Amino acid sequence: MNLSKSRSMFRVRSAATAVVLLGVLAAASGCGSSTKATSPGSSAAAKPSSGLIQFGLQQEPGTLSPLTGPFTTAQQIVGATLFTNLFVLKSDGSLAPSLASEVPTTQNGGISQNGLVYTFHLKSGLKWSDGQPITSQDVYETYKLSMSKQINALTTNGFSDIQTFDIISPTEFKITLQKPDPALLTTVFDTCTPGIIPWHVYKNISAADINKSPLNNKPTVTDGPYVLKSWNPGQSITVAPNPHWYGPKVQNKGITFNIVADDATLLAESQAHKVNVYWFVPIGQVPQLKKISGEHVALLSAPNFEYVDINFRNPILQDVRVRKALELAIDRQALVQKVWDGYAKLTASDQPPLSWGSNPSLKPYPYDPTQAAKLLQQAGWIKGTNGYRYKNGKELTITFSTTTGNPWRQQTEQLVQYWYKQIGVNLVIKNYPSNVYFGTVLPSGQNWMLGEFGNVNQPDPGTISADSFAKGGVFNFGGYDNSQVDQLFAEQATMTSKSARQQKLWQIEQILHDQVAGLFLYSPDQIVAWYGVSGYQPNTWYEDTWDAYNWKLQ
Amino acid sequence: MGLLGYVIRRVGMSIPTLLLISILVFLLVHVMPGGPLAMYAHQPNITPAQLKVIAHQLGIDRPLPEQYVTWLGNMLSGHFGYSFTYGVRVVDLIGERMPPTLLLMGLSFVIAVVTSITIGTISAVYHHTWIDRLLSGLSYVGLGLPSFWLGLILIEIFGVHLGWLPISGMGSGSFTSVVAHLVMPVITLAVLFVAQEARYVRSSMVDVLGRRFIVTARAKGLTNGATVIRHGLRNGLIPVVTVLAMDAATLFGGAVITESIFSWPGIGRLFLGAVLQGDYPIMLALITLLSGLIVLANIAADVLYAVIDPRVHYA
Repeated sequence: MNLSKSRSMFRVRSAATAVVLLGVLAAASGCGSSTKATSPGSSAAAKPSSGLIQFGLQQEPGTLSPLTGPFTTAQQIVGATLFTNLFVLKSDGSLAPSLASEVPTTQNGGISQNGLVYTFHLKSGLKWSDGQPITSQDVYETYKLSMSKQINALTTNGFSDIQTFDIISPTEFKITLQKPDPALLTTVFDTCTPGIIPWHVYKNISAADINKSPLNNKPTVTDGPYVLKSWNPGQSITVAPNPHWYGPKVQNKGITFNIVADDATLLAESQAHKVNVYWFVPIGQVPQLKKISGEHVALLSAPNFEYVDINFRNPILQDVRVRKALELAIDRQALVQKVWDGYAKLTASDQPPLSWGSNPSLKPYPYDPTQAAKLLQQAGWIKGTNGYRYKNGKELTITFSTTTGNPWRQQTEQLVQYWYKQIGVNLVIKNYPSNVYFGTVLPSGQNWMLGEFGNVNQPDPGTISADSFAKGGVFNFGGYDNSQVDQLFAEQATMTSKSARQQKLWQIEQILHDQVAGLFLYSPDQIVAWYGVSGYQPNTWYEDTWDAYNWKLQ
Repeated sequence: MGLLGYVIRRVGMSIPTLLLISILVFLLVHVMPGGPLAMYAHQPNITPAQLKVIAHQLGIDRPLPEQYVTWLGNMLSGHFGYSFTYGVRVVDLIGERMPPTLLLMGLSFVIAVVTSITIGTISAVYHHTWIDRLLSGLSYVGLGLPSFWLGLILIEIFGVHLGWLPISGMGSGSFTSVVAHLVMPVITLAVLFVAQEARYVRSSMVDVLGRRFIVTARAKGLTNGATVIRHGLRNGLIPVVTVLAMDAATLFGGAVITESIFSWPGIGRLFLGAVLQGDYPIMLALITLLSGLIVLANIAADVLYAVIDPRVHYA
């Protein structure tokens, strides 16, 4: 290539670069208008000077629909300001009436003695945000659509037990179940996921089109304390007071949910006083947040539990002595102190202490490496010269997996690795990104032996427990299979007496504990920080936005 | 007919290339572990039966060839299908997120190019002096700074302690607000690029400034500035431009991290979210679009050679 040709090529590439840059700037100049065009309202300034409460939201919801998924916690956090339901979960885990005038019970006649018939009454004069009345028809259509196979419904559980749904009047309806379902109210009628749909808006959309309806991202009509003002994709969601909200007067001009995925950035926003509410604070940030003047940091008992699922397909782990040894060898009190700075409670089973399904007389396994070593010896695992145990020439190697990107889990497994080495177990750590872990690794039942993750118990403690340990349960990744436990789960699921159910759940808990169906670790506290807002009342059973209408900027 | 025929032939030839890329990308995305059902794994009250219904609605229970044909149809119709996460047309999502990314990347690129040429040229002109050593040292420091760390340090200094600049987001939409929000992400993204490219510019310019035509230019009485700019830069930048163009693609990788730190609502975060959530339609659309752009840019460059250099003929 001679110089003149090089110069020509230089000019060509320069011209091409210029074209690209011009394109970039031309496209970028349309930025603001593009955002505004796709937002249902005006673009809101995400700063306290706007008079709006600033909420740090770690994830952008996929949808704000009260009907369709995929469910995300972010959807529920924002959704709780937009949609309510017949009842609302209070911060103590009990139900309070919301759209309904009272919580049905057998005592007040709202639930029949056999637990099959529920009668609901709506408050009178309820209105959607567009002024249309909220009626029994809206609840009925929510049920019908949720059961449609064309809808990506947030849940079919609960609704699937309904045999007949009779509308008695615009404010009264009766549901008859195929079998008693004591969890009905807390499965489908106590949060915004699912909530109740405004039928007068949805009736013009065919069921097949609902999954792709713009209403999912831009709900135009709501029944909660707020309406959606704007959603700037990737940036923020702003809600403003609903003029037709039935409840207490909204004490603020609105809330902007700023989508900030990075925890370090959220901490910086808090330090700069640009965020009023910061939820799901990582434990490592607590000392820094506490140093911020005027910042409130609350560490609250929550119905969460962290445990290690056991893969029962693996022959080594089918021996209860080995499982018990693995449980006894973990110094869980040290985990709580070192990893959670003491802000977690030990658990004896999958029921966190906050749950009414938790048996107070059941004690967590102690840290006892001597007993653990003895149990392994009894199971035929003999210590070799390298310090690890062997059986039939095979080393006792256990793989431990969890999700990447969670510092406390990585710290936990490093400590467990150390403790297991003391009893002659070679722990191999193999972690995966969350979507790979839950989407492929755990459900496959292959290439993992111990899998740590967390779960959140629901107000009805039988649901998650059955999902985790009943045969075919959606979280029973390890394939735990115990016919007695399955039978007890089935029995409690149709009992109408809470105390009788509690006895059954305690029985299940005892079996899971004795058999070491999982390595039960602890129930970590939920951490929330807020600044410059009064009336803030955390709710670990639902979302802190459950009564955001009470929040007031100071 | 010569050039037109060539263009038609090249476009025609690119169709099988793009088709092959689309098949490879489709297969790669589908063999990735995880998958879209993972985002339902922790949904309260989800049942195995409901997961099957969702798989059917998303179409991921169908044979791969059938899924590919459906996706290809959606792509050719221009809307790229519907996002599994957001339930809206992928083309709309890209339309929302692309402008912020183009603004961030474009501005960073322009600033980085101008700065790296300036620094590299100064280093070359004063090579082996303290100025050169200082600028080279700074370049090495820049190369060693991870963008996430630099971003957080800038946030700490200018966002938290001094309170001069906004920390996250893109602002209210006004010009001043957008500019204020751009400062830290642009610096973060540009620093690594400057550090890298300034080294190339310096090396190329040192080589060119030692050539005999530069000596001749000086002997003719040209000032040092005119010699460097008119004769040095025009020749010294020829190899650099190619490197600049190739490295521009790495900006996209940096944008993913920078957008996450500064909560910039761009395509990088959309792509990252899609990968984490197994949102096939978004992943496929973005990878295919980028592949298509690269193929088209190659054709455009070849055509431009012929337009600008009359000695190039396409039969």
